[in-house]
Amino acid sequence: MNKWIRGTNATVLSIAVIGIFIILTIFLHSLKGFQLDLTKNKSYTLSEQTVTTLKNLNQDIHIIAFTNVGQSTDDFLTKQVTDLAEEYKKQSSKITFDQYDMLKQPSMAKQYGVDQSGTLVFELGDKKKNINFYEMFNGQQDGSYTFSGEEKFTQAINNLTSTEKHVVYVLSGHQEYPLSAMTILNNSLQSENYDVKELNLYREGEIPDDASMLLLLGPQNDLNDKETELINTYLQNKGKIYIALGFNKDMATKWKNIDSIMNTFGIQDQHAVAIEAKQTSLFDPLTIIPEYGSHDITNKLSDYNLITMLSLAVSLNADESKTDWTKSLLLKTTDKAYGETDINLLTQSKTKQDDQDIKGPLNLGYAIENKDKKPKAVILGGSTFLLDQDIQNQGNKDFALNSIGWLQEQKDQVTIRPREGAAIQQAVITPSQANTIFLGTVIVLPLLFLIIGGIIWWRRRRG
Amino acid sequence: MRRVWAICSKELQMYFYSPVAYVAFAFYIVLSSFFFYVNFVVGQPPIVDARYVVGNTTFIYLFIIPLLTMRLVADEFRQGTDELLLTSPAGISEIVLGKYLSAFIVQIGLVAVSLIYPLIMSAFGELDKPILWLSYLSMFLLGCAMMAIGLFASSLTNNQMVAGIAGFVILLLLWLLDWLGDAFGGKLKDWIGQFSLTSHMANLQKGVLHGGDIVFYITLAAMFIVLSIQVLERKRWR
Repeated sequence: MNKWIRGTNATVLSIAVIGIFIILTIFLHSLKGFQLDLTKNKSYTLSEQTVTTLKNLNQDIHIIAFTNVGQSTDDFLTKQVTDLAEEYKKQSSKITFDQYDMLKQPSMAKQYGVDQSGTLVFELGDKKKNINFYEMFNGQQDGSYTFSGEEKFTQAINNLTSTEKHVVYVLSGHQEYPLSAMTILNNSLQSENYDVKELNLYREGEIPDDASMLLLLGPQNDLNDKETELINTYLQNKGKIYIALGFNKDMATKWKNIDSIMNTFGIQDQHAVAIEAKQTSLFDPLTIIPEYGSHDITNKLSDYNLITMLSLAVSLNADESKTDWTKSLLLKTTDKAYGETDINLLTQSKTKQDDQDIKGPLNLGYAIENKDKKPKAVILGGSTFLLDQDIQNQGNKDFALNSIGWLQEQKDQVTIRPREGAAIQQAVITPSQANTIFLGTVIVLPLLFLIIGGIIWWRRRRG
Repeated sequence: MRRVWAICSKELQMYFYSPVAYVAFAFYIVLSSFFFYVNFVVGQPPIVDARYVVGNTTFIYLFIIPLLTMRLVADEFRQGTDELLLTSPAGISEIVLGKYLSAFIVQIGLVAVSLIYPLIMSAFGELDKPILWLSYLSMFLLGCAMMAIGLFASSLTNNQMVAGIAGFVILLLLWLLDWLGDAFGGKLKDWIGQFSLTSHMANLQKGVLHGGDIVFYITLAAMFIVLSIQVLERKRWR
């Protein structure tokens, strides 16, 4: 009897232990957020934009990766992409993820019309969006590459779920920056559901009806009177404008019309270039790292300590007597900076603070709202941060996209976007180093253990 | 605790005074070195990332761990020393824990030896430290759980070979749960996948410390230790 009870006890205990293990595993698996991201760039902590997008997701999205397992480089890329997809799945129950091997399951690939391995398909009902793995990896000069998967993933989800599209027109004809010099901005805007078009008012003669915003980015020449009239009429109605001034040596004398448009909102161009006296080894005096004013556009940037960098920025001033508009300061320099008014001297790379110059702190950007608290304009003293070579620095891209998003009243697009992952490290191994590694690890090290084993065996046999 | 330690040190002596352990270690190093060489040197482009080492090394565990644990309890039965042990003042829990502790120490050795690969890699570029240490933690935890499974298999029989094979089969089944889940797809895949031996390594190898993963390996090891105790308990009263 005693034996029987003890036997039963052992069985019951064993079953209980197995049961506890199963329940605990399921319970812990269901705790999604119980984790600590220790990677260098916080690669697996999804950005605020992604988290918001996933939180607002109310339709099922199926992510399918078509891969070709077994190729070493491809495997590495595949792993990064599938790891990220798993992270999205963890964050939202609306996301499902599957991976298919192109060679083993060609019928699945055929069903989705995919003919290239390394393709990711985002599927929402009938709508599909394909992204090639290579689009998510940006090559570096040293041959390594960085991973921008999160940005592409979130954009794909936004594109699939969003139904509205805003058309924004970038003005041309005054030597503004061409769209080809701002491809990153252009692509980012498109993936946030903006349609970006160039508009030459000379040629078109009117502002199209679908324009939800005009962008005047880095003009070198003034607008002519007719254009100004068109723009003013547009702005009197529902129009919105985004002005980012570009430096020009004749700006004080020749920017009559641009100045007048800014003046409508009570913003004055002081025709002085901001010089930051406090130099660092990284920056020259013409590169300004402004402080942020408190505003929806900049609050998150200052929370995350992301700086915006402008160079050759023109200082602005708000005319407080124009009470029709609420003018919120976005960017200002330190009080050590000054505004150089002698542009000719500046073009010869000579500058010194004198009585003529404007004392800091200088104001470099404003957000304008009308009486109904509706966004109307964003006016910035600088525009270099929009260019491809600068926009990836620090908070530049977020500042650019946040200010456009704010102007369009897109609340969820005034946020912090995904950063790029760290570059993948590649080693350069010479043939002799390869030989040393082979000899050391495959031959010598195991041999060492065999010899020790042999000695012990021999000594024990003798002993 | 003193008895646990006494049994553990006796087991360690058995390991390291017999040439078998050295052959097993050498076998383990040859295989993992070969995989490392193929991946890091032959594979183009060579990528400085510790995760490559971990994937292959843990695969070798599947073969090496049953080899290292098969003797633990089964040998006592074969030699007839089990009776001595079971009637000794040490409780069965202490005996099992002592034997597991020795396997645990051997596991530390296995992980420590393979640190040579990231050391070589670090000469060619900078390793991402959190990824390196968390990957190695995942490798260690997995090994510890596998050792407990091997110990359990060894307690089932008095034949070392049978114990080894049984250990390998249990490990293989748990290892392949992922793959089995893939065959079903959907929610079932997720459900089955969470019990897979390897699925809980993914987060750690990404550099993400997820509490659930660590608890999984610890409870898995604990479960098999308790099961081993129960198996021996039954034997004692039979």
